[in-house]
Amino acid sequence: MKHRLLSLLAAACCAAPLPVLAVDYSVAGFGTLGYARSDSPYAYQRVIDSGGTFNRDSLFGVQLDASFTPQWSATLQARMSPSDHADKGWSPTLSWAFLTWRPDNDWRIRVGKLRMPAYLHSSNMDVAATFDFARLPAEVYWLSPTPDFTGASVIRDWSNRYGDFQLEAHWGRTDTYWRQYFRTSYLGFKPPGVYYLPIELEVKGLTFTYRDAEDVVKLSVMDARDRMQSGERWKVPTRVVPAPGVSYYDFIPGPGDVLYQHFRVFVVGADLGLWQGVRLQAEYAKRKSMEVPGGINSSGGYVSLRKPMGAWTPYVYYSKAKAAERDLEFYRQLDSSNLPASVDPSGFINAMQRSGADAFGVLDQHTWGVGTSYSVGVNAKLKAELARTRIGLGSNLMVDVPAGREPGNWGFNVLSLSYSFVF
Amino acid sequence: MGRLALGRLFAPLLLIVAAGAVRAEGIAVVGHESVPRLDAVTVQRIFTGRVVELNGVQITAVNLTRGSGLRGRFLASFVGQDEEKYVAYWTVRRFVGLGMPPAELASSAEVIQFVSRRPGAVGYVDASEVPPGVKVLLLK
Repeated sequence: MKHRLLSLLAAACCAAPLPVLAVDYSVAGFGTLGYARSDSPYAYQRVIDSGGTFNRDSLFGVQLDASFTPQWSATLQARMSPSDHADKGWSPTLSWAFLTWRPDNDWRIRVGKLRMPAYLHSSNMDVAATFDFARLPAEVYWLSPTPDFTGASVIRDWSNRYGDFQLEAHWGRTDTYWRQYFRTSYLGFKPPGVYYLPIELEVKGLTFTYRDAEDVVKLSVMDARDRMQSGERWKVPTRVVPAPGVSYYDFIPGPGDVLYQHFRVFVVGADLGLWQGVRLQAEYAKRKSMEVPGGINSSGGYVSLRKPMGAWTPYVYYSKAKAAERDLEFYRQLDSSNLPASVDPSGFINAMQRSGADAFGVLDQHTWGVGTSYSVGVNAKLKAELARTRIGLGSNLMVDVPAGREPGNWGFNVLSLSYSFVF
Repeated sequence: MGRLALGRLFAPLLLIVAAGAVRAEGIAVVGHESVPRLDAVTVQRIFTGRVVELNGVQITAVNLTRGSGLRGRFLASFVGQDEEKYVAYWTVRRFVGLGMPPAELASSAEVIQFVSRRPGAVGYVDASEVPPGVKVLLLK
């Protein structure tokens, strides 16, 4: 993939000679100081709990835009933010590093480190000063937490009297991590706690956007596959029936295990002006695993209303994420496994089922939120939000409920305060 | 010479004086000789980054600095946005990787100088400030 990327870059450069001209460049930056606190003792979205934290939403970034000619430009964006492969600590990330060739008004070809364009706020999700939510609804944005990839995108724009249309095709790969929280020892091998599984992700997709003076509609389809960087295969559990009326799932490596986990993501979103200045913003994302049954067979969506009133923009939203019913039932069976002692070794098997439930990412929750942003000039926003989240059967992808505690059927509140700026 | 004759003599003079006192009003979009005449929609698309090339000419737009009264009138009249919306538009556009806003110049004199020298340059000045020899692309 690295060689293919270099070939693409070379081809793009050779296709359009680069005249030697003075470079116009500009440096801009953005940041958020965000505090979040819940009334739950368990960590939500990795770090939000009753102790409060600045490590969920705070970040600082800079962006360099260089224009070599009206056709050629480069963009670099780097940020300092909470680590994406540890629950503690911050790490620097090169979010973007791409070259753009714009041969005319309608085409744009980019090569380098890019952002997947699926969601309404995919490209500006780190620049909180550009939207009013204190935090983009996790029930949607958490479904695809890896936004950046190295590859290419081709964008075609066109317009008519109805508005502007854009079609973007992208493809590439990235190294990322899948966070897993094990309540108990994983098959006796690892102690309970948080683990970040390094994975490789290959992705390709198509995004269509319609935009006019006031409204945006976006549709996106992505096809992706991932594999563990270790080369280990994804386990496809098999059901075992040792005795009538007794069954469990076997997670021991077997011939049915797969190297790649293939899934598709479909996203639709809209930001529309309604009446009297009220705006409706809604998104829906569906993620379907093609081979390995997993909690990533999920769908999530939100609907929000907001109304700019001078510097204030109050908003309210409802968001929900849920795994497919079949996967929720699979999780329930794993989590509630209680083989009788007559099935030997029941202790080990029960532990294996719990670990399987923890490794099996599941979502079943909904959130009501109310908040407001306050514009401090044109470059900054203060925000405050109170959200109430209710867990259904369980949401181990987002909530770290320890052993001995009911993983579902409970709720908690989150208060979020933040100051976001650009310069 | 009778009164009527005197009136006939002075009338043309009055007309000449009156004509000299009338200046062009409005906003003039000006540009380099290489830029074709524009319509309002194209001007709007240039200043919102959606048009960067016309008839093979690479277009470079320049704004006046924020706070300029003329800039505010231009944005309202040609782009259909106020200053705050325009800045917010370009903030989002920049941070989604779709380019930088037009460069800003401090005065109409600088705009005139820039568009006169730079192929593909487009700017705007008060209609009364357009010197001879500068190409007017659109007057509103």
